[in-house]
Amino acid sequence: MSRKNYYGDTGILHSQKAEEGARQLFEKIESDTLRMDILPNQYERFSGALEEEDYIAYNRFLQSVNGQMVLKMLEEENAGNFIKL
Amino acid sequence: MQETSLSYDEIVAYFGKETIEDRYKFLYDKMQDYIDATKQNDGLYVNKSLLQQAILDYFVDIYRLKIFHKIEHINITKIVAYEVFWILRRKPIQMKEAGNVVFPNEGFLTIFVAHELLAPEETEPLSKKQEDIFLKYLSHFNYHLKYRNVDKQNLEIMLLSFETARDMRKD
Amino acid sequence: MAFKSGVPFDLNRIQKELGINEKRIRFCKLSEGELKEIYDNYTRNIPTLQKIKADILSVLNERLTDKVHSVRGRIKAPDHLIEKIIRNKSEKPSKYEKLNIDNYNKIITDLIGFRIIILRKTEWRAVHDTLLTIFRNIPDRYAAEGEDIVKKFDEYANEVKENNKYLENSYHAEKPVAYLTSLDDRELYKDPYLRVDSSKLHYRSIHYVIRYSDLYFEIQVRTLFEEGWLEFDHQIKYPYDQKNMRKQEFLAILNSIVTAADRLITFYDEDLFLNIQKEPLDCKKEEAHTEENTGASLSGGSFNDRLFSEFDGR
Repeated sequence: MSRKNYYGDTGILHSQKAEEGARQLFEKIESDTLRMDILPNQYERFSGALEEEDYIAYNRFLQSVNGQMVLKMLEEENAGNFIKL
Repeated sequence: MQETSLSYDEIVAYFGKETIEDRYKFLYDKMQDYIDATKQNDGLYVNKSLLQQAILDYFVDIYRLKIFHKIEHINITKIVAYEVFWILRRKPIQMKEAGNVVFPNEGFLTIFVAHELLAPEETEPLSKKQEDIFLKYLSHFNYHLKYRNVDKQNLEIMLLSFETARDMRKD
Repeated sequence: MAFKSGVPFDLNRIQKELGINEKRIRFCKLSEGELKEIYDNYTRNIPTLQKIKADILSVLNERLTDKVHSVRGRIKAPDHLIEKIIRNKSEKPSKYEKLNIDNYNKIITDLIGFRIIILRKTEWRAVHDTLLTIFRNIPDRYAAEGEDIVKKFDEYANEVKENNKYLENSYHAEKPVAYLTSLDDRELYKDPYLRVDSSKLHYRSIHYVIRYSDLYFEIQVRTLFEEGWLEFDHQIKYPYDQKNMRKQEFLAILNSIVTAADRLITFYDEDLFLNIQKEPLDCKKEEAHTEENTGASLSGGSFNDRLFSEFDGR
């Protein structure tokens, strides 16, 4: 249990149950049984207005999944008049 | 209507499957060791789903830290603080029918923190007096986990304070 | 090495199968006819060599059974003999300059080769001491650098066959040499009748050359892992690919694993395993809460006990 070995790459053998649980965790993730809860508009700093200070937050937002969804919605509204980012 | 849930794929891609698995296994076994060492296999067990959720919550948290605040490297104190927070919140050590122990997660976390973070790194053993002082601190920490408001930032500074005091006493 | 006896001499075949450079054949100054003579002469003598091999093997087996992993012997294949002559005429010109059909057995020392495999490096000493008693150890007779070995061979020609007591009259013809790759090991191999040579890359073995009747034979002593590596090395490198850089690198990595394996085996000590709790692996992981594992700074088990009794969740 030393601090140096903290990151898990210790070569310690883990118990069967631990291995099983780890496997199950990924089965759940990959089968979409386990999903991450999110709140809409998680990026508090993006106020909706494209101002200088918010530009970076805005871009970061656009890169996120929620941002992509927003962009998609905007594009659909614009009926194809969009600029590829 | 916006989505209220998302796949964990991005988190997995960022940290790597192995890192997440290893953390799960590491904590699972530590908790099982705790149950064994306190001889409570009849009354307690490690609930896989709760631990899985705690692990994922932890990694999502760290992910946000890294992306939002652009923190490249996270120090151990922060890691332990976050882990303590999520384990406390999700309480993966659960009671079986025959169980009668109400605070196993808090107990586990106290010992976990004692071992992982607070034990001095030199190999000199503590004297009896030092052990007593240390135990007193840990009792307070245990009480705090049971009854007081716990958040990640407070935990972090609490642990950092102990470390700092300990390190200052060296040399 | 098994070979088909009675295969007729064919220089083209030998050249092709063993990857001999054209230039070397020209340089060796022996005509194809002369090489054929040596080949045929050697082939005719193989039954004798086989008898000698069997005799020596039985002696070695008898004297070394509980000291070694295994003992093997092989007779040099005629093709390989020719290849060696051609190769060494350019690589070791002074030694091989005068080689001909009458004296090749006085120059080439491994017409018969024995391999003694040990499990641990440290076992070499018991083998060494035994070999120095099976075959006479007369340091004055060790061949010196640059010495005329044909002359030396002839000097004792009668002695070695006296009363047909070939074994009793045999002797160590060269000072045994330990080929090492790490000079750290030098200490392990200190012996008045052993010299150390670290010039060969990736090769660790101890060599003995014994004079026995009308020939010399060689004994190589090495570890099981080293043997494994060498066999693999030969298989993938010979005959054509000796200069392949990628293979060299691969073999170098494999070799370091072999060295590490040999070291680990040497350091194995039964006592190391006495104090660890014997838990079956599938129920509990190795790093259980034994006293050793609580973080060396917490004073032994008793503090840990206090922790677990204090914070058991109640």
